[in-house]
Amino acid sequence: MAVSEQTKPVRPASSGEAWNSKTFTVGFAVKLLLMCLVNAFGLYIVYAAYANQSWWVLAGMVVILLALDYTYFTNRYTLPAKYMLPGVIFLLVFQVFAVFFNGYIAFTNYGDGHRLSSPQEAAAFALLQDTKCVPGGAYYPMAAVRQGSEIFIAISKPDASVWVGNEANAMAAVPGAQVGAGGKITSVPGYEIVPPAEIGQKLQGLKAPIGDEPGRVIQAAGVMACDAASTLKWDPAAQTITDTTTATVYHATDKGFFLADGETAGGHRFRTGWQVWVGLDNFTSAFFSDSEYGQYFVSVTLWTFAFAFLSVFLTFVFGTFLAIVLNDERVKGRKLYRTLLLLPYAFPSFLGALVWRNMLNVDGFINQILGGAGIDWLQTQTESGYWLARGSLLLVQLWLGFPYMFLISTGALQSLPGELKEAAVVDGASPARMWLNVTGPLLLISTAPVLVASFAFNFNNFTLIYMLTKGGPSFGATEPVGATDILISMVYRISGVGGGAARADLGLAAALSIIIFIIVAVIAVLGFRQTRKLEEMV
Amino acid sequence: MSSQTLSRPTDAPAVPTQNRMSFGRWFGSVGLRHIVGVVAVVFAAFPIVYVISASVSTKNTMTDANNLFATFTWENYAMLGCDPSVAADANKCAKVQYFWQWFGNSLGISTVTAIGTVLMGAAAAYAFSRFRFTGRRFGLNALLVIQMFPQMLAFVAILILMTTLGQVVPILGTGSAVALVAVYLGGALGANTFLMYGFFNSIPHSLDEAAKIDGATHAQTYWTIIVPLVIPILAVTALLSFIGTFGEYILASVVLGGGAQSNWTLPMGLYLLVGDSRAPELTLFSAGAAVAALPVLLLFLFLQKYIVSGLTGGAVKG
Repeated sequence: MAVSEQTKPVRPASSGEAWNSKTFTVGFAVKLLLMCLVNAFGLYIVYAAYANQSWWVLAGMVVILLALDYTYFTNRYTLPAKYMLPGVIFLLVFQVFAVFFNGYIAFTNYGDGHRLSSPQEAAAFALLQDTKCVPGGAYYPMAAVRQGSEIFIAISKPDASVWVGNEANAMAAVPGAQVGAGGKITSVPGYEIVPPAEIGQKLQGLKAPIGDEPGRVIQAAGVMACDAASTLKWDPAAQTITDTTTATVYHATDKGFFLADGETAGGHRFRTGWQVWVGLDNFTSAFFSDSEYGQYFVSVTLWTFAFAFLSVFLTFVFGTFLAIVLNDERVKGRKLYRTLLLLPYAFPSFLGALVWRNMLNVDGFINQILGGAGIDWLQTQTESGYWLARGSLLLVQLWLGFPYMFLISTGALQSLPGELKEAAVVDGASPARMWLNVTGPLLLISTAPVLVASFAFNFNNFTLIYMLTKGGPSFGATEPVGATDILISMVYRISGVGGGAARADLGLAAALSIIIFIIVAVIAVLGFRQTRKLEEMV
Repeated sequence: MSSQTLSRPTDAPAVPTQNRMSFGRWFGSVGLRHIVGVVAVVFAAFPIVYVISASVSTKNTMTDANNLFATFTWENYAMLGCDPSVAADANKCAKVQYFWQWFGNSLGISTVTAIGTVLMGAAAAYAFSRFRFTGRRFGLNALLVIQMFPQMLAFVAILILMTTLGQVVPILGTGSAVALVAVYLGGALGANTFLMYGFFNSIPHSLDEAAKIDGATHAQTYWTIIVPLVIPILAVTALLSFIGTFGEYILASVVLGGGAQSNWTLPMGLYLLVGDSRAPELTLFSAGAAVAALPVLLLFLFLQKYIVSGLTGGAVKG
């Protein structure tokens, strides 16, 4: 899906039905050229997918190419599609498919330690990790070599043959390599020798399996490489892993992990597992209080609602107040005011949040204004500190959001029908009464869709939370959730994308994002229905 | 926030000479409004003044940077994008060595996304507005539903999808800016088609019918008749898309976070400067922030008229 694709509907003028060009035009030439490029790129993907045996990618790409070629080179029933297809393809692949795929992941245990697809693969992976030099085994001169960006370990055997391999490729002899005095490897055909200074600490992590024997590897050991064997034993028939150092036997369970013999389900398990379908487990552990994150689910959800509501409320009240105050013909320089008040809106909000983070620091600008108060506005880990952080967050949100509400309210106030005001004045309404009964309700009705949309946006205002507090102050030194965390920032943390999670749990993260979606969808539907009712009342 | 008391007197005496009301009456009806306005402007502007001040400060310590414009230097700006192998303070320099790459990536990704969003969204809106075809109603309803699902909520699936795609075609996988643009374009139709659809409907059908009778093809009608008429909404959509993409963090970190730092975007890079570190690079960050804010700030100031009318016109129909 090349970026150039979006320009495809540029001139789809081809011969055929009534509303199509009958001659060869420049437009057709442009179309032909673009379609050639798209097809070339598409076929490249098909070929690459075939070479990688990624059948899903291959099938998807073939379908996309056929749809594109059919749409742009025929004229039956395809006119609307000519305009919609590029957008629809991106939408289907990167949003609709992603959403359904997300739904699928929510029912699996996919995540750190559960990325492999079967007990065999998990065992093979584990066997490669826990290896130790065999006592009395052979040692070989070693070098790190490189092919492209991939690093390999190379050893020279006493017979002057050189063997190369890495974790994904078993050791194999490379003919034609040259060995100097003491077995030092001087050149390996097809590989480039990496100087030890360049590779540094990574050198000690190099290893490669020997042949087909599971658990036997060559690994770096100081300046030499050694014959090494895993401390684990894998029994494919019984599906058990035995840790030979502790004599513990782990057997495969249907929940995607190896459990130590004699333990109950929640007991000691082997660290590497594999991916399985876990049904509703993720949803229950999201809700129920006995799990790592579940105990915070209710309080985080409540705060998310409070944050979204207060964000809209505060920005709207302040913005409307300013709009009323400055929307008066006697005030000179209204344009200048408006331009200056728009500054926070024009300043990218992620930068705004980062700037405020600095200003609210213990040594920051705000404390200095307050005469060296030395308050840690954002990260004090006490009960009052949590509220301080939440309050500070709302202050920053007020700064970021009031200009938008100011704009909206100004526009809405200016478009209110003047007759209603006049009628109220004729009826002898006081200014306060007029506000309460005429201007206020009208303003609310005309801005309601914006308020609902703003609520939905702030419900997932990840950037602000992450940039300002990263969800902190944390509920405890080791707790994964903090006082200003909203649902989406908690989900991000669970997913482990930004680092910092003890264990990336993509299944749980996906399940929680579905819950968020349901909440937002219900709010949006209710909100808009309410809005429509309000409109009908007038 | 002491300047409101300073600036009031400068406003106040000027006006009573123009109007013939007493100062007391003027103050009650207009003067108070100016006070509120000035307080609001101070609140709106002081963080930005602080950034500019910190960006030209010589010392990195907070307490020094807090004295507004106490010291002046261009050094922080000069250090952006420096080469750590020749810089005097290699550690400090290393943190911003990719600044201009981040800046370029952010500009490039946001620009291409904005253009793509407008082209695809406008074309789809045109089809929905002008053609009657099977599945049209379904399409419009589907878009309404999709619109409610923020794309970033599916970031877990996008992470796995991009990792898988990257194993087949590296340019569409994690770590690639092209892949990030593709992901953003996935959200293009859902976010903008409805806004444009309404606008397209307001253009009289008689215009394209006249063109059709004159022998124009559908493409000619679209490009030469319709598009020029909808330029304002295209500009607003492009601008909103640009701004949204420019500050987007979650999907950018999902797609680019695992890759080389030089491929990152501005939010990712600048977060690194002040985010988690115990000793934030305050002055460097401020210089970077001032530069990073410029494109959006300029777009805003020049296109303020369109944005205001686009926002209020599109959103507050009453």
